[in-house]
Amino acid sequence: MMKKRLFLAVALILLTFAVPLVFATEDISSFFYKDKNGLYEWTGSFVVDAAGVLTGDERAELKEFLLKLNDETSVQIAVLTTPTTDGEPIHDFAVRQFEKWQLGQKGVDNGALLTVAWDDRKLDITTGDGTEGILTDAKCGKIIREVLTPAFREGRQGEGIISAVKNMAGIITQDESLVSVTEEDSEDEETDDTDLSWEIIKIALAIYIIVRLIRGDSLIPFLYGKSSHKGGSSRSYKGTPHSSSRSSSSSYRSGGGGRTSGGGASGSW
Amino acid sequence: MQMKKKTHIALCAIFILISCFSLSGCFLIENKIVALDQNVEEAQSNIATQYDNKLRRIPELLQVVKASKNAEMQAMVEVVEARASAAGQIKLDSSVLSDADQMARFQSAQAELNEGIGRLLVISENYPDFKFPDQFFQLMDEIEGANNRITVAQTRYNSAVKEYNTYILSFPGKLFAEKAGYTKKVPFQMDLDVTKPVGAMDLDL
Repeated sequence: MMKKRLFLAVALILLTFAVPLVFATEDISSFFYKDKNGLYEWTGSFVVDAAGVLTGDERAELKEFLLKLNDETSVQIAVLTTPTTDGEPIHDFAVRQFEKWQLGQKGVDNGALLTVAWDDRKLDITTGDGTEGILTDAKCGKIIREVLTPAFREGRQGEGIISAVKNMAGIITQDESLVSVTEEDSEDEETDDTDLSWEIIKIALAIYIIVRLIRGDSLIPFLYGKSSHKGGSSRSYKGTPHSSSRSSSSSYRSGGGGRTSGGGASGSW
Repeated sequence: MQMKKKTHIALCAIFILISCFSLSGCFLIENKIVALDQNVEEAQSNIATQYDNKLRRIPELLQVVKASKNAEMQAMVEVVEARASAAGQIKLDSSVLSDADQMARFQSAQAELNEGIGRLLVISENYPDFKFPDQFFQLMDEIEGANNRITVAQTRYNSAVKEYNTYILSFPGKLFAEKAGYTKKVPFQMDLDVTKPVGAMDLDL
């Protein structure tokens, strides 16, 4: 009798330890806790795929990219997918989530949030006070219309999200190599003129290069022998080797920013 | 006798201390009311700025619409123009905010303008093959952005108003607010969303 009880007790204790072990075998970030306001808790990851619309590879690629962005430029972009916003307009939800996660550095607020409400078929980009000046509402709208919406319609949501995030990062850090949406300002009445002068510049450049090549000179005479890398404000992320030192599950503190006046744009597919 | 004098001095000291405390308390309360009032004013000017931002983009939007060669959309130009000028007539200031009638007029003018803009957006979606210029969508994004900022600014305004009202209507603040002429402020009650389909828009505000 005694033995049986002891056995039961031991079994119970073992079971209580075993339950979390079973769950721990899964990626920890696949658990999503919501607070009383219906917002997701900060898990230390810039990618919270609560709707499960990304593949494991896509999630890993996004996390890697966003961690690198945070490390190198302190810009914090987060991606959140949720099944639904429970009837709340997606932008209002995204603004509250942005404030909760405090994206961007304190006082600078250089953050942005890409939100997908999968079952509602809604998309949103919210910008912080420090990014809304460069990643304007019009540019957010353009990314949604030209990158996200077509991709989501064709079922390539992972690709679309990655491309959109790269565009956002590229625009914020002024890294042209990441930007695929066409640049267009609202005050370009003289587009024909600028196109023409651009053509002239290109032709002139081509002639210059050909002439220098024929003469066997260096293409950049001033920098010859010197390092051609100048420390600029923007950095390139493309082509640089992926750092394997950080696993995708490493957790990050948010920057303490999170102030937003509600900039960004929304859309649906 | 000696004893009585001592208690007298002690009482005086206590009295002076209390009056000092209450005097500084008065200043603290007054400062707090002023600070809360300033918060509300700041939030209010933020809202007004965003409304201006929106109105400033309408003429440009209408220019693009006029040039679009889409008859259905061009038919909306005058409607939106009229609504924009109606909405522009009421400037959002303290007198409007504290007057329920004026406020209702302001909000319905803004709602009608939004409805007009929303209809333009719906028309553009009804013609998927019709090539609207990029600028059209860009301006729409900017107007939607202004609306989003208005929503955020109004939420902040409302929480500032709530804090202010609670303070001037409850105990220590109440004593001073009435004398200094600080009155209760009216919060905003409005839902702006230009992306909402026209059918879902609440027109009888």
